[in-house]
Amino acid sequence: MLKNGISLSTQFYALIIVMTFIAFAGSLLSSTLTLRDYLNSQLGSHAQDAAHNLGLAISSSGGADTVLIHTLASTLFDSGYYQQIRFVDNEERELVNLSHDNNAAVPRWFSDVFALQAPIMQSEISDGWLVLGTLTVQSNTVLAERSLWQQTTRNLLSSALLFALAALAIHVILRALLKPLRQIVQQAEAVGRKEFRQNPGRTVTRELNLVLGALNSMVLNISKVFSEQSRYAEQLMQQAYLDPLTSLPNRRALQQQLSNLQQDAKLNHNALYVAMVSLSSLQQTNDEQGYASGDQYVQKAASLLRQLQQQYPALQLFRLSGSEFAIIGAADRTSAAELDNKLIQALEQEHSQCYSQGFGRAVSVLAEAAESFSNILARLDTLQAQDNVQLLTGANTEADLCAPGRLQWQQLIDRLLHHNDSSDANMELLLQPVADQQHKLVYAECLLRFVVDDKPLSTAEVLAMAARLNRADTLERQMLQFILQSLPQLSGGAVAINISEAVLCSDDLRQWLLLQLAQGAATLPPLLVEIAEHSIIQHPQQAAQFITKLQQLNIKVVIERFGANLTSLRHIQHLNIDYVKLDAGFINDLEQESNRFFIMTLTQICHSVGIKVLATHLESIDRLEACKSLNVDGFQGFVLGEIINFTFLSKKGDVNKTKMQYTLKQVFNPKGDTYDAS
Amino acid sequence: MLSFQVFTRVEPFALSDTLLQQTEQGYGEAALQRVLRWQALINNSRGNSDWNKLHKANDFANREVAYASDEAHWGKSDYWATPLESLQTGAGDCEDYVILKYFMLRAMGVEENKLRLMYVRALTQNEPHMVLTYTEKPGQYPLVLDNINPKILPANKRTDLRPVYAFNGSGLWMAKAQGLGNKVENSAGVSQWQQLLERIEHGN
Repeated sequence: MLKNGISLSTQFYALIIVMTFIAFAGSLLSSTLTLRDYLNSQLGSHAQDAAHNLGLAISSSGGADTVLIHTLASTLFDSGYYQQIRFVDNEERELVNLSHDNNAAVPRWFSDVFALQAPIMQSEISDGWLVLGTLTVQSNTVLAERSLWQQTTRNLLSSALLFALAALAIHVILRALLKPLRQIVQQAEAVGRKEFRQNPGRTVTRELNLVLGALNSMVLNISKVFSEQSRYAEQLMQQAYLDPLTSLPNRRALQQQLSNLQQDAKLNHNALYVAMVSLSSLQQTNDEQGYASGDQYVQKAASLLRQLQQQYPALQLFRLSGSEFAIIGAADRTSAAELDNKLIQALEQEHSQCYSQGFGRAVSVLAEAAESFSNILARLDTLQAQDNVQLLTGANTEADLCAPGRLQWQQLIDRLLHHNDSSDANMELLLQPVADQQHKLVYAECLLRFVVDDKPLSTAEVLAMAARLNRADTLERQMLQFILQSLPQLSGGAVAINISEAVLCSDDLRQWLLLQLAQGAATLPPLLVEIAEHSIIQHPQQAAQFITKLQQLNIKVVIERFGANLTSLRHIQHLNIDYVKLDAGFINDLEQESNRFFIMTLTQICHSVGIKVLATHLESIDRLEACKSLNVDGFQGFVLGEIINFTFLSKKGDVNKTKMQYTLKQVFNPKGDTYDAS
Repeated sequence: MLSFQVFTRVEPFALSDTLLQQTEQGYGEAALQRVLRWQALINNSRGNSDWNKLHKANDFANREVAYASDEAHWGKSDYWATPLESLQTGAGDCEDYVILKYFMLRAMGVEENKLRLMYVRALTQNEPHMVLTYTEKPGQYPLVLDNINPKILPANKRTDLRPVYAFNGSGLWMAKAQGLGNKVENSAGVSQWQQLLERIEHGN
């Protein structure tokens, strides 16, 4: 509680209770003391009166002797109002002494604390001119004590009643006064979660109204700036990657996504089908009928191809240049041939008198896994030039379509799944650092590699196969368990875990993971979680809930492959995330001015809501420097340091004694950052 | 301020300049001179025997203060004037003589327990009266300081007076001392003696 300070209302309550208590206790004490003093003085004057009266009576009776004094003193004493009556003669001889033992009339502690002291009063007794001795009288305190006690208990009761009433009134008033304060706190917390909502409440307190107003307008401004910038960035992105006439992704978009598409195709053990459609009569139409007709021609072709593409969800359509469209997607040979046919048919149907050179021509190839964009284009151009209408899909690929058989995969995955002992789990934990502008380690990302018979397998491939065999959940759980078991051996920095789409799909898996994270909080290093942007867009509600839960466990959230989708910014506005990791496509295309400008804008927007931006796949110093100059906050890539194999290192030596040096490359940080396993 | 504590200290008895000024302005030169003579007499008698002190105080009071009833002098049926008031006005009744003499003797250093304020009945005039008595030893007849008969005589020689009741000035202070250190006061029935002490303590 004390970490964030004590709440204002608690302090108010404590203060008021203490003050009220002091006031009531003080007034009770003071009234008791006043009454005690008054009673003491009454006892004194009572005793003095008695002393004088007795003295006068004895002195004026004539012929005073001890018997007379005793008799008269007894008369007074037996009334019970006196504690003691003594007579002492001139030689200090005590001739009369009458006194009571008092029964306690009030609790002992009370008479101890508020002891009544009845003064001893005296008078002289004389026989004519001669003084015979001194008479002393002390009043009895019992009655006075009793009335002091009664008065005090009455006061206490009425004080307690007043105290209770006052406390109730104060509670009601404070609640009303502090209500807007609670609203402000909630609003501030909401801003912290990047929710920009207005606070409608108004209060009777002027100062609080001012704060409320200021906060509201601030929140309004932030949210306005954010949405304006987001809109602007989306426009930029669309300008850069969309063809304005057909709203199709352009050549640059294809260039950026080609490697992703190639990877996907490989994972699915398909070739990447690339078809190019060129509008043969466009030049002529433009020249003869004007550009408006040319545009119509292009739009017609675009909608035709879009219809075709919609039948094959794996395919994507791009407009490469004025007269050229590309259709790309994973396909095996059979479906590639089928596609070719459909394409040719569709184009032939549109052929008419209007298009003297024909409506369009299509050529296609199956691209290799690592084939460059320019190489693919070159091959397509060659086909175009051959003036051969027949498509040549079948003949042009050397893509490796051989893969382990389905049965083989099933065995492999079963083998991976049935290892409960983490020491022999066929998995290796790798760590890759993310460093900031000051060359300090931000965190290390956990990467997982499957090793079967000492041969590493592609993680992506294993995951894809597991998904196909409906084992994605089990495998994901196995992987996370392995990571969570390894991490306690690591210390010295924060570590990020990758969460796949499988976790967002499965409620069970999410529950399990959150439980593991909560239980391991004491032993695990500070954690981050990386979630891919497309997973979040696919499962927005689950993602939002999951992220909220993670934040409650003090786990930070990174969105990776950020920006791959053109509407990314819309999705992050309401998510309470800490970092975004730019999609590698942006980094690969850093030479483009507009791309750099886009990254800078994106960074600004993210910074405006407190999100940090990370760049990955940095493989050269030039790119690292470029990203630095664009205000990117954190960097990851081979240029910063080798990936280290944590599992291997901890197996090799005694983990408890091995100090692992994790060195960022010299270019970045001459001293190197250390990563300890202890 | 003429504090009561003045009487218990051995320091010279001195009235403040303010009091002297007030006396001169309010009561004239004669009053000032009476007060100054009083002050001088007290300071000069400190080393004397009790016998001498008694005579000096008795003579001074009887000489400087003229008899006047409370009704005539103060317009009240029974008013106990402070020593200073008696001297300033130069008049007083029997109680005022007794009070003046009592405080003078105390200031000169006469022990408190030897002095008594005594109510008596003056048989000649047949009216209530008050005298100051001085008892050398307990059991002995006291000496009587009176304004009717200015000569100091042993009590048994004063057949014109019949004793009624004596009180010792210290009794009230004893009560004060034992009363939790607070003054023994009550607003309902404050005795003349207490009122007088209060007025003295407040400088009148």
